[in-house]
Amino acid sequence: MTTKRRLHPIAIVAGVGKELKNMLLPLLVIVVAGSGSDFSWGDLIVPFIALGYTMVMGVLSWVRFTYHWDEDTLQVEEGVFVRKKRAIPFERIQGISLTEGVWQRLVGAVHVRIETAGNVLGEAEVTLAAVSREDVRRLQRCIEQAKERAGSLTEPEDLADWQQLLPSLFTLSMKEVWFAAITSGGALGVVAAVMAFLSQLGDLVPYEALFRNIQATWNGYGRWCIGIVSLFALLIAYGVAIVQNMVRFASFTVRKQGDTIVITRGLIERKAVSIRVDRVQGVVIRENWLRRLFGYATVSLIHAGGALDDGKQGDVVLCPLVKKERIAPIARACLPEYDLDVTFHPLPKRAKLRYMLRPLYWLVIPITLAAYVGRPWGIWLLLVLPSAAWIGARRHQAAGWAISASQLALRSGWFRQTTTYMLKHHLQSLEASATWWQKRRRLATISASVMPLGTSARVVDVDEADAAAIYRWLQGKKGNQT
Amino acid sequence: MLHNGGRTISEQAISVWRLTGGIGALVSGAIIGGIAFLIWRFDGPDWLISILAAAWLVEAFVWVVWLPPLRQKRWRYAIREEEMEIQRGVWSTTWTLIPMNRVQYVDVRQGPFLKRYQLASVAIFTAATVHEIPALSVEEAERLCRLIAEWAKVADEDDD
Repeated sequence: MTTKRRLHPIAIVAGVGKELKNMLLPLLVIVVAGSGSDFSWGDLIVPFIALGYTMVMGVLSWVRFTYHWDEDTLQVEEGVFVRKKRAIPFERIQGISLTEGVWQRLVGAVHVRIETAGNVLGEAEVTLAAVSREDVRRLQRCIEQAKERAGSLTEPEDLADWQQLLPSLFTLSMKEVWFAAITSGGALGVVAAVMAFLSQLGDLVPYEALFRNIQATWNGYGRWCIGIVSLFALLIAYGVAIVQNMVRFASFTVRKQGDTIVITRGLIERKAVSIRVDRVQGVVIRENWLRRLFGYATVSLIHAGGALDDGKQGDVVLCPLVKKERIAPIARACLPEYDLDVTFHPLPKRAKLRYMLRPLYWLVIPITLAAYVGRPWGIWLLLVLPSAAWIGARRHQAAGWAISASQLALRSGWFRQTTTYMLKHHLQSLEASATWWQKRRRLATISASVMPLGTSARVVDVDEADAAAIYRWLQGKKGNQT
Repeated sequence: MLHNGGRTISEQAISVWRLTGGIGALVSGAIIGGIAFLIWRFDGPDWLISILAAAWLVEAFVWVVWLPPLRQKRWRYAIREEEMEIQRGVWSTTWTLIPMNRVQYVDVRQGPFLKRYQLASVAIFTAATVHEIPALSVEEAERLCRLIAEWAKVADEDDD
């Protein structure tokens, strides 16, 4: 296929729409700040120029964006003023994610994001903003054929067919979507803030009595107004976070096609992410304390390419919310090389005190100061110290490690317990370290790195001998002598 | 873990670190001096100036006199066909293990300070991490670079 192709024109609308959305706030600020009290048409010049410029550029960049492919490469040419050509050999492609945005859906097109080998220096991805479904299917077939020729593993036949009737390995029920949304990290932050605010309300009364004479307005309704407004703002933020999460995780399905895991999700924007099993660098199970209470956890995959799932770099959510006992069978079906049914070795008892004291090092001085300044009621702040120590003890209890012939698993954290499973041949380097204090107590910190750049898992205060054992486990046979 | 086995880096590393430490101390000395001047100019307490001066002296002593030889003594590395190991750190010791077949490329680097002493450092890149062995003699750095390149390739072939 040598003819140069353009994206579907809906790409203009989608692109311009996105630009305008980003510009809306700064433009509003300019208009409001510029106009002062009286309005004149002159104030609208800047926004109109910006609007016109965006639209013209949108059309121009659409005109100048072409792509075409032959048997083994995808070529993209883009740039309005500065032309940029890029060729992507098919066998370098790591993963494809398809999104059906609102606009794309109107015309039956798909937003295609192609991840290539995670080169740190170069750009690792290509985006085709709107491609018709038939073209996507054709492109995928070409990629697949090229890979077969290159002798790599077979690719799925038709990613563009969302409703393919492969057995799903994991789905989220509507109830679970709801539960996942209200207990998600962002939402939890809001809850914590609201709780903190509510607990503040009780303290307001004596506080007010103390500073009765300072400022009449501040003591009057003003403070309550601010308080109530911010409470509402928090609740609204919480609501938005919930809705966002619900939209994101609705109709979440995981399937396996050959050696590729395909995750589809989304309500308004439907999205399919496909990851080749051999590109998975690790499995991460996260349990925040609230979900743990109900026996739920989150499973994600560490992925060698770029940000496939619009979350963090190298992190793809496999199960947003899943009963803990279901994790092992799902993982076995998706990633047979991993063994999640391992028993964790706990940390030695002598590490407990260090875990309890560690949060206190940096808390003691500010808390004591705050308690002193805010006396007499501030004295209650001192309660933070024992609770921090208690959390430290919980963290000590939660942390642990497990090795088998081909896999290393590290676990740490309590508020957000994180367990990372990594295969031996994916470990890029292993680090053991011990401070002077740790050495005295025969403890060490162990940390393992996998792709992509900067991804690592670590456990603090492992028994020195255990750390050495983990270290030797990765070492070659000859290395043991030195 | 090496536990003081392996090779040490060049002893001239001490001089390089004394030099860089000295420059750092001059910079912070200028900043601290500026603050002290302001305190004096606006009739701040004298004891505050003494504390600042003492802090600066301690800093200069640590970075110029005390730390460089210790750092040099604690820095160890070993390369073998299957892996390389690095041990470093004064207050806290870190042992790093890099399997040879994970090494993607190796750089020999030489900044102005290293160049003065005919030294070079070697940076080893894996797909997820960067490790640097500082202050080797230029010949040793080139030897390392060659060996790693060769062994990384061999290990790669074994792996696949």
